[in-house]
Amino acid sequence: MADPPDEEVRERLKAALWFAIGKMVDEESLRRNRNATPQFIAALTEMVWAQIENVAVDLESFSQHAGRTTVTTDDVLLLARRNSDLHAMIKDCVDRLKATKAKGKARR
Amino acid sequence: MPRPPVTKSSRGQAGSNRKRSATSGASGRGGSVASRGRASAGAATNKRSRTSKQAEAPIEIASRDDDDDDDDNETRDEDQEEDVEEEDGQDDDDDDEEEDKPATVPPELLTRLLHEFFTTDGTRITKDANSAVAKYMDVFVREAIARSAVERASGFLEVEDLEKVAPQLLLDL
Repeated sequence: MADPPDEEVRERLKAALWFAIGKMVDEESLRRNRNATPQFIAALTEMVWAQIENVAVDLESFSQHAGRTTVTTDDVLLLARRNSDLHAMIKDCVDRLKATKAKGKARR
Repeated sequence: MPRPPVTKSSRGQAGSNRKRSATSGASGRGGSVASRGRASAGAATNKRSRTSKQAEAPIEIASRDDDDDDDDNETRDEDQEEDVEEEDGQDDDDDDEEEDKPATVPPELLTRLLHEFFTTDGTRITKDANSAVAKYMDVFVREAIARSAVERASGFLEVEDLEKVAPQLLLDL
């Protein structure tokens, strides 16, 4: 099975990511009344791209270490182990997701 | 297996590739035949849309500088920017009303990206884990912006500011 040209796929993914990050930067710029150059956004996109790459490999390693093939929220929490504030934020997000899930199941 | 159409059409042609990710990398690859057809058809138009997006965003930023919504601290420079600002201002209002208030990486895009980097084909990710990673990247981006803003007290955020904060940011997160 011939893969579609990887470079092209990656370029489009990067472009989509660039667009999403641009919106986040715009939002923050409004809030702080600051401005960001397009080069800043491009550099930030590259950084996020690299970070997602690391995150993905780490998550995969964590789940494999646990004997699973599916990445779960526990793996993501393990990602945040070094920073207690970050860990708390992600734990909070996960707990909220679980609460809404539980509510949905209770309704059924 | 028929897949539902992508809801967020504003994402453009790139969305057609993203929606096939689901939660399984294997099925995502298997479904690539259909998406390849779409990809080749969309490739030409996608390059155009990509460049237009890149052209749009700088204008958006420039117009946001002079946006009237907040208190007008910045001085408005040319009349040209005002015209652009009106057009983009209307688009931005529509976007704010349609989508959730905090902008973040779309979950489908994130799933697609993660699967791109998974080394094992069978690796999957739960929806909650996907949302958690989205939150993580959200915090990452906002922390990067905040630290860069601290570096430069006023004016434009430049690449140099990001370069200064990157090492510590990557160690902290």
